[in-house]
Amino acid sequence: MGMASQFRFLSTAIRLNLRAMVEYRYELIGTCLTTFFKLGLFLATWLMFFHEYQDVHGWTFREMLLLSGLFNVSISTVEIFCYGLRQLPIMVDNGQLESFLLQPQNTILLCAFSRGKMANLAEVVSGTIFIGLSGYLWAMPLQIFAVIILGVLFSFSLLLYLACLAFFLHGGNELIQEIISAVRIVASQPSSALRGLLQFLSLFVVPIAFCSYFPIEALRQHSMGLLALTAVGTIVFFRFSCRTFYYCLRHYESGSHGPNL
Amino acid sequence: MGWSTRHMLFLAFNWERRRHVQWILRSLVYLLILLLFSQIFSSVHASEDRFVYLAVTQLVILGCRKITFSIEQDIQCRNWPTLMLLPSSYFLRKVEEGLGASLWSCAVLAVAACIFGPFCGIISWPPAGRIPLALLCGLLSLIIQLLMGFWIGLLTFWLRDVRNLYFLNLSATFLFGGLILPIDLYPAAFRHCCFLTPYPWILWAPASTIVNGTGQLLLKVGGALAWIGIFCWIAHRTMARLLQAIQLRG
Repeated sequence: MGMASQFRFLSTAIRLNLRAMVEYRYELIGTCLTTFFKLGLFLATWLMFFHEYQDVHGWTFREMLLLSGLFNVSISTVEIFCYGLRQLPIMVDNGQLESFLLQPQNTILLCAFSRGKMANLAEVVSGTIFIGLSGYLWAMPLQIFAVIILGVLFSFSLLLYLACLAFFLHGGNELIQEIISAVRIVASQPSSALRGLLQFLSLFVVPIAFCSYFPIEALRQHSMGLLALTAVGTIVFFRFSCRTFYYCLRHYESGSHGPNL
Repeated sequence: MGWSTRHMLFLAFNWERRRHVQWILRSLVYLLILLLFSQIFSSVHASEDRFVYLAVTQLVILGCRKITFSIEQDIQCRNWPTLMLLPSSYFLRKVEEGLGASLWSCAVLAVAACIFGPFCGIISWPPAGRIPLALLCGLLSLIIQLLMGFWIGLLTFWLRDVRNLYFLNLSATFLFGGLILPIDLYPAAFRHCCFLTPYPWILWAPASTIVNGTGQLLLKVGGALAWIGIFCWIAHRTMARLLQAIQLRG
């Protein structure tokens, strides 16, 4: 399948998702408001921390705003269009992947774009506001744009990578969602303080350093080298996640028992 | 109280005990968070008390069972017989079920903190005399969280999706309860505002009892009991309205 048809398929999937999601507009507005307050309260908790202790290894509340903004924009953009990745463990568990495997399109893209969650738009808007408040958006807009694109690619890879656990953990959807929440908690803390075991985990096991430590340090130190490292790490992780998915697909057990002869 | 509610607490406790993968994973997440914050606190040269405080607040938050989502499921699946027809009260059943599961989770997390605490930087333990009152405050904190969770869960009937409301409540708990820093360190005006909400009795009361001792006993226990009374009343009123709406609409 050519690139042009892949792109046509993607744009159609996105359009359909958007139409379906704006149907409940009042609920959407309510969700957006609660999300603003939720993220605001979370950051206010950190504001109190930085009011008491001025910085964590050079990271101040500005960097915390930037980290929270970048992480929320990236992961929420993925969830808006590719909520299918969050549903993937349930699909694997219930043996419902056939409908995607039998299509000529790319299986990962089909699964990912099969659902969307427009309510996460509020997190994207709040995240953008936080990035704006951090002051980095106006100082280096191009780098911020690059980091957001890489963050979206990273978040896509992360959700795909963690969803692959479903091929081995039967009935493990709840557990996988808990792991995703735990990873989100750890990724949204100031990672400049990490060392030892946590540093190893954040680089090689669940490489969240490529969406938290490296991009923030690249922007803070105006370092093109760290930005390049973020790009390379993200692309390698994306390729690794896709390969892991296809490898794990060999362990997939269909829920269909075939025709009853 | 019927048989099922009287024994629900023990059943939930035993049921949670058998979910090995869940509680092992939760303990790992808890230890990872402790390790992360021990590194953050050591990098800002914070005292050990701050870290012990955080270990208790995280324990109370991670250990409490999220009953909101099971209630949400009951309502979304229109599981009315569970709500209305069983002889025991749905309210009591859910709260006791949550309490039983939370007690097991908290016990496991506390053991994990005791065993692995020294690796995360906890060198000295608080005097044993503080523990009974801290346990009482912890128990009251779990009950307040469960009552709030129960009430938010019931709102599913009117709001369709309460996940955002649940997480908003959680974020409010972090800020007004003092998850990372004790609210005693907040600016005075803001600290007074915090005490107008139920959140300090969820996090601050048990954690500050462990760290600072058994002072302000009346504030810690009396305040928690008052909030439990308020939330019981709100939950009962909401439950009555829900049952009325189900009977009218079907």
